[in-house]
Amino acid sequence: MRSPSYPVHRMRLRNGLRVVLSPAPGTAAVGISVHYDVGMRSEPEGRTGFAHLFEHLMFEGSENVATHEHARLVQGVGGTFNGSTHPDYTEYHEVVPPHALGRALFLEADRMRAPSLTEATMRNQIDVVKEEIRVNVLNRPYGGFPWLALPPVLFETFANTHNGYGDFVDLETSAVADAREFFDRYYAPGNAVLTLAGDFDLDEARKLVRRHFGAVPARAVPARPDFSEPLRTEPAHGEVADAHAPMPATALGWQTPDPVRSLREYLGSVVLADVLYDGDASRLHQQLVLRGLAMSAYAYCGTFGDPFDQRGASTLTVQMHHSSDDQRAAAIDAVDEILGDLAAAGPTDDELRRVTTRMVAQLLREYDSTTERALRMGTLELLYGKAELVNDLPGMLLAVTADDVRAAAARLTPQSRAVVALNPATARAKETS
Amino acid sequence: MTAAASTIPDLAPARTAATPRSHRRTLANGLTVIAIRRPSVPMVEVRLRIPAPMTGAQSLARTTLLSETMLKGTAQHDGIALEQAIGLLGGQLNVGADRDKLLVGGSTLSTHLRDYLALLNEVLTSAGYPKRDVEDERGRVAEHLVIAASSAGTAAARAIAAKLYGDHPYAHVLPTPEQIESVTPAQVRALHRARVLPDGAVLVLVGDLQPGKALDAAEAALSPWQGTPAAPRVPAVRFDDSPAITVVDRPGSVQSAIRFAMPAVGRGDPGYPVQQVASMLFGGYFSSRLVRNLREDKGYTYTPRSGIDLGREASLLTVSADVSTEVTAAAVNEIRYELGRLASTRVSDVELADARQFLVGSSLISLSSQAGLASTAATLEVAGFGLDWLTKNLKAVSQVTADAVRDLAARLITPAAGRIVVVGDAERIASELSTLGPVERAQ
Repeated sequence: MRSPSYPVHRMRLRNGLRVVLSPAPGTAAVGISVHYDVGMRSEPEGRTGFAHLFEHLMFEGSENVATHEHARLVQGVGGTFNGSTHPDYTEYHEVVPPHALGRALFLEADRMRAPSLTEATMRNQIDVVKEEIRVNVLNRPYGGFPWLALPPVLFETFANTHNGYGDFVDLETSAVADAREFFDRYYAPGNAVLTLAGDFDLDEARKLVRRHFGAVPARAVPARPDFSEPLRTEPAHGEVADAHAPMPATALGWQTPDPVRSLREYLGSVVLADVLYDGDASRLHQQLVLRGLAMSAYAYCGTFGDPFDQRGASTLTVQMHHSSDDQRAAAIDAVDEILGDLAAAGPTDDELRRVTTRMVAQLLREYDSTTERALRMGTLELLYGKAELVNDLPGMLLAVTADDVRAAAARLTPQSRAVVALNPATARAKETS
Repeated sequence: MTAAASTIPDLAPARTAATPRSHRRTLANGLTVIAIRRPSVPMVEVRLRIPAPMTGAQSLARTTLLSETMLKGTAQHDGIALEQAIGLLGGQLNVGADRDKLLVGGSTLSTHLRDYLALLNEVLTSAGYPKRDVEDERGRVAEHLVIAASSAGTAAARAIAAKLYGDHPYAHVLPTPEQIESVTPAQVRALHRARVLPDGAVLVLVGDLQPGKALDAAEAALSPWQGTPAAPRVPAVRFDDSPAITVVDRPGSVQSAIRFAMPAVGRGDPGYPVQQVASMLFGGYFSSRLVRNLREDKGYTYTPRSGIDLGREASLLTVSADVSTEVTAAAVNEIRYELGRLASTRVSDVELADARQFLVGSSLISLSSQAGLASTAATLEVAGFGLDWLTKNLKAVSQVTADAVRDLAARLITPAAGRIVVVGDAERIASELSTLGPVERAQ
């Protein structure tokens, strides 16, 4: 299999901004991403959801860009944009035709230097974020399950257990002063990585980056807290009542090895997740779904299902939907049996080859999208200090052995596990007319 | 723009992207094969589109179960062995269906294209639908449908299709669990024999390939697949024109799912590029009027949007917004206001230029990946248009005028044309909605 070989060029500005440049001439699109080293886990107590709320505010204008203009300036050249908040970082990105690279860099630099944080946009975006939470969590069956429900049971510290979408009271009482403080503390250029991937000329891009970002003043970079926690040694159990869900669901979670400090060990867990669930031939499908213990069953590493998306405490999750509660206990037993068998014997050679070949193919597909490649390189540079991992990960996945997967399965014991049971709750009783 | 204009950098001169060169061959069995070289990563994207129009609720249930069980086994492999074989190619293979066609495809490492096409042929010519597997899957599909039905979005999609299409097969968007439970494995096998046939179907291959060799490989692999489907009888669409707002009760909802839909023109209509521009600036992207009004000014909703839903038999312009229960009627009123404003006043030059440029630019960017190019080529080809249509269409989009937008909106996109469904807590929203016009309750 041909390994990818995306070029990685770096520069660092005097204000501390780290820059990764990966030119791919002729692709007719250039992806720009800015990753700030602050995410949901850094939120202070009383300000849950603030990292995500702040992400919204970054689209509401800056010193030289009027409110509502960001979207127009990107989309008016045919580009697309978005941002998202993760446990350990917040990213902003654009994909534009090559002739608009300067404009996109200007927009990112202007808000890195001087976002406009006003009372009016704050109130408006608090309302918008509440609607986002309503549509994705409160009004939806299984909304936010299990990413909001599992961490409070599996972990202990506020950083790892609080609701990253935010408590409505915390959101409503957020003020412009909180936003200024959050910006000053976390949005320093030295706390960010700028990534360019796609159709651009390297020398020209270096000049443009200096021109637009060079004037952003340097500021102090906060010390990065360590969000690691000791491994759980006793089982934990939690329950969720869901008014819209017609059937029960279960999530099992374990802490994985540190994805950054112990990448090789962690890759055993990543491959294990796909041995458990990568289609009809996978263990969970055969032992749970085909045996009638679950309607569906999934396994994945990382809070949002992306294994290379966070540092420190990460999670391997097994998630199941059942047609009735009496399947739950038997399904959990069956998961333990599968893990026990994998811990003793490991995956078969064919199984391992299927899973890793497919994972590599999926990475290659991901890289074919300019947006995804820019985001992936930025994330890898921020979390691992190594954007080159885009090229290395395929080979590293193919090098994972049956023994690595066996060892990963052996760590997933009932003692180190959290279980969250989601049960249908009766909706508000209707008055009879 | 104000003082900011001087600091926002000018654009560099734009370059035009070349239209991808496609190579085609129609095989003796009637299958059209298209190959496009795009060696950006060592993969090939594969899209097979087979015309298979729904002819009613039973046809929808049978097609749904067919697509869920086509990969449960062939003459040579059981379902698990098949999955294992595809995985070893770095491949995936998926089956789906919409109102008009079956969608089969996925991707493979380019070095394994021949083996992948051989497996594809095996599925198409000898999918077995084993009785026990189909019956087990049928139960799971029925359970998944119960879960799907619990979401407000699904309830809204069902209600608005029923409201618009009445007796037409398009009225059914998802089967009920009961309809699924009544399908037999023999009926699924019969449907495969009648519909999963090459004559009139389209296969698109995009990726790290030599076009001539890829066409040869497809011909060699898929020649055993034979058959011509009988022309199905699909009735003409007659849109319902009830002005009442349909309320679907979902007790305990903290939001209301608002859906507007109105008849629209399809790709072949001269008004199509105008409609694309109108829909885009109305609610098709973040810089639109709907986002500005409902989200950025009022904070009523996270993602209001409009779009064009293209079907072989009929097309729609749709508007959707999930809003807080308290502002349901206010949001419906604002959407109507924006529809009226589009039809009765001229859009600004800036809005027009932005929407046109976004349509052109985002299309080019979406074609820059193997997957985006393959999906677009397959969709256009099976609808009777080629990739060259896309080039012509984008040229037409870039010439749409403000007068054309207003004329088209006045004809098609008006408050009166919008059929409305709201899914939410009826006790809390129905009386306020009745201040906007007649309200009816759906079951």
